[in-house]
Amino acid sequence: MRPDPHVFERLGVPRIGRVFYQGRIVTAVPYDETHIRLMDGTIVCEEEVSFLPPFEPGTIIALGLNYADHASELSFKPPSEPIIFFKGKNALSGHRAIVMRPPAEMVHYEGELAVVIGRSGYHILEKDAMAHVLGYTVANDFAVRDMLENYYRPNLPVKNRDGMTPIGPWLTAASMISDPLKLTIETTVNGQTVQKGSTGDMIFGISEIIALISRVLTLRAGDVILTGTPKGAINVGHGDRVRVHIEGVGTLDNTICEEGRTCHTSL
Amino acid sequence: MHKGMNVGHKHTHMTQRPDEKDEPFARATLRLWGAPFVERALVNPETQSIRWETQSISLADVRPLVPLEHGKDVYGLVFGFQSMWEAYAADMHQAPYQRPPEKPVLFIKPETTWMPYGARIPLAEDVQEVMIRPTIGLVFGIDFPASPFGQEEDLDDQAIFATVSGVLPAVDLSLPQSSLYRPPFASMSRDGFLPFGPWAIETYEQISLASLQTIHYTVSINGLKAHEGVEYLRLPIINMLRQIRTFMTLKAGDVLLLGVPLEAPRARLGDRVEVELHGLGPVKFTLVSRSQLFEPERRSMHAP
Repeated sequence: MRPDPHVFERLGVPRIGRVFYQGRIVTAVPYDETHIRLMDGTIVCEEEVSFLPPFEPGTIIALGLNYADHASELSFKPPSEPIIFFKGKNALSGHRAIVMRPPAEMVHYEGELAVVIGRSGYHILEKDAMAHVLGYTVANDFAVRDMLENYYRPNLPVKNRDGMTPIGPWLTAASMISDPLKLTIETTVNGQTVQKGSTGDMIFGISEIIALISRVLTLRAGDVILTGTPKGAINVGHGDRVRVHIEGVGTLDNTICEEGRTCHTSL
Repeated sequence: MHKGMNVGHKHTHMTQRPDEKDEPFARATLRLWGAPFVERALVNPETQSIRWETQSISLADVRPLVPLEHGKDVYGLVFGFQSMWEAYAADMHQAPYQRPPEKPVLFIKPETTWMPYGARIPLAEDVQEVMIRPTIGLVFGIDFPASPFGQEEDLDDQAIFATVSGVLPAVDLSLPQSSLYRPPFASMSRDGFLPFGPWAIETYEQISLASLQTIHYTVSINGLKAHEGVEYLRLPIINMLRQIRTFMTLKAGDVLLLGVPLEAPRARLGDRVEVELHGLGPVKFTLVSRSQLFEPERRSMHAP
């Protein structure tokens, strides 16, 4: 099911999500700090559900090196045209998911603003682009840097690992965000700030990205664009709790677990 | 029986009527416009005929839909065929590649590229010609899971092959690309750039994936033979699959295109293209301008 472009108006809520609860996938909305409300009105504790990506994803599109400071940090030249790649649905997981870390030297989090399309379009003009946005959510596009090879880079072994792109918890209506290019984006690891930037520092802004992508393919409702990450990449390991907060959009919280070890979400 | 894939040879348990026993019919999954209840049939890739229930149907008389489910992922191996690997072998030791890849190099064809058999494919105004790259896709019937710790050897061959439910003819369309350094977004991801054949031939006891090494195909443009090709898999399928599962899962319903040919004929606006993947079936499409996608000429979709 593709998201309904009028879902927020129909439900009269500013944020929606999807959770797995008592054997079913149900739509949910935030209630308070520790509870969520299901669509039948039931209020349940966050810990009783598993968060899914907050919408059913169509094509997953990501941008590489879209913040100048992150590009220079990795000693790459900022690109003159955007680096655009796709991800498979195997890569997605939800808020509070345990992210399995493969044996590798360097695994980086990458906190990113995710833009979800609500109205389809082809050859969308920059000036019309924002009308195609349904809403925003938070993504953490983990990268296994050891696996980087110079073919179709970033190659899939770096960027398409199972469950290593958690997204959520909520899809926030576009109408709630007055300027998506003025949002603080902050990542913490075990409470310590490791990444702090502004979505205003993107090299290619949201309208420009939508225009560029839709020059090539039709963007459809449910397609999601991960817009890149600012500076501040460090290695994360077993037990690390990684939180990405985007002002007005939400906080995505995940714990790293090394493959072969067990991990408890003591969130 | 054509050279190429041995479809229909091993059909020891195939349902047959006595009068059919010498014909190379194979079980296939397909979906047809106007008939949501049709899921499987016997098909003959050479004569392009379909046996469903008690009827014999010509492929020309039906409209197949994309033989995949919505929401699945289609991956492709760029160096799956030997020709592609050899063409880049020298460059692999130089900038920007530096060294040959250790892991499989994959691309993704998003859902907006998927086209059914016989479709009209819209070309953007800035596109003059496209490369016609025949390939075959493995369809996964159950999850083909990533291996814990990235090991290659924890499943036996049989368990790996059991995850593949079918083999699907397809054509990867691409604009010419010389560099493989960055993901092929603008060249390979355009609307309609992955036309499929009409069906997926079921693998169960019909096709030996272990012995699949070559892919023979013919490309005709506007009714004239433009290219006859044979591609050799660079590695046995089992090795390719083992390498992929060191880092990711292919989900049930996903597809893996086994490679893309280096030498590809090119087609232009207005061209009618028919590709025959020997032993598997045809892929047929017409290149039209986007503004003419729905013009009435569509009636002759299946005309020769």
